Amino acid sequence: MPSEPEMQEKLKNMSPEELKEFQIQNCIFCQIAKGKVSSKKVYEDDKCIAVLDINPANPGHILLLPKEHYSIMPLIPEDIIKHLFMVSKQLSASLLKSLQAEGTNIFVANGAAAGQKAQHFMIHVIPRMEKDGVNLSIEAKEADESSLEKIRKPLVTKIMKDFGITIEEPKETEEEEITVKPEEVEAKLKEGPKEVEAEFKEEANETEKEKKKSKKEPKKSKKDEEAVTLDDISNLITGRK
Amino acid sequence: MTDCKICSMLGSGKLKKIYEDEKIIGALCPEPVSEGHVWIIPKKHYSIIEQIPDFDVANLFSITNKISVSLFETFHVQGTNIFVQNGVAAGQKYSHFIINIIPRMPNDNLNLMWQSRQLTEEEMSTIELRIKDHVKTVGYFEKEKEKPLDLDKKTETISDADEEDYLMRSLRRIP
Repeated sequence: MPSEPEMQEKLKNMSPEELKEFQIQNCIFCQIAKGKVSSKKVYEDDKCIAVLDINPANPGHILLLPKEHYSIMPLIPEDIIKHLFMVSKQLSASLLKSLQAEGTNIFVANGAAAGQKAQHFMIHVIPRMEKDGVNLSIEAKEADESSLEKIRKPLVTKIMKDFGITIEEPKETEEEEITVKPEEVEAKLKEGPKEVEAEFKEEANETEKEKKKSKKEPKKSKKDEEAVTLDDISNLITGRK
Repeated sequence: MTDCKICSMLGSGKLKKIYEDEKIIGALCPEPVSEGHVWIIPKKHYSIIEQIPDFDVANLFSITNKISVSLFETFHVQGTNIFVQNGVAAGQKYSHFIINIIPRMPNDNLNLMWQSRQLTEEEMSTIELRIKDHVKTVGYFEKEKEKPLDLDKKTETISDADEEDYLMRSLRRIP
């Protein structure tokens, strides 16, 4: 067995193809996909394989792997991504039916910082029960307007460029009304009626645009709060059995 | 359809959109777990993934992947989690289906990992058999219906000058 420093040297001198080949040879999941290592397989097709995790979060925890070796999601061709996630939806449905699960989590860890442990891309499909003690959850944190805006601007610029689309700027007419100071209004009134009319015309145009926008959206009843009860969603889930 | 907070946020423009196409919206999560936390949501109201047609699921996740890459490249994050909470027992908070893209940095103290359990061989085998009984329909995907033909275009090609004349002539012959 070569020593660690020797291995490091070897890895440095490898081409990307050689590195990939090296990864594959040392990848337990590639061995599982090829059937060289035994596994609790629950589904297989030409593109992917689904096996039970031997250290599950819950019984029935499925690992869905592409048969081809890919380390992270961005490297995977689009058709394989689509295939993998359509299968994960169907596996989620299978878990609901077969184990009477009350919910499922679909989880992907891209990168070590995200908790990726293996070098082979995988999608976790985890069956959940009410109060099952699985602490896989996200804590919502309050964010203020400015910090969200700081993120939004560069991200929108990048996405418009990457996708070749345009995204409308958000309209903040409500907030504008609140921030108009009385002194400003008085000063503007003193300036003259023409300018005031022009301002009103601008505002009228904006509200017209808003009306047109809201007409396009389907009409929904206006109620204050939405109660997401266990009943609503579990009815959907049990209805599928 | 019952009232949905997300649907009304979509309608009122309160969500900070970062992506939009015919069926999908990408927006900044209003209660982010980390900086750059994005929601990918279908415009149409669906509660759980099982309700969404296969081809739409495919598109939702394809866009998720691409936006995850955009996040990587814009903010140089070290990782992303793709996370779906399907059902209240899985932590679903809103009745609208959401895919979470959560950017990650090393030592960000985000505990998004589960405790592994050990099951006996017998337990594992039982589960394996139970699941296998219900995977016979997996792998058969719904296809998107093709758009209906534009009938106006068709009638133009049919009504050639000669044919019309012939038809009109034959009609006139009928006593």
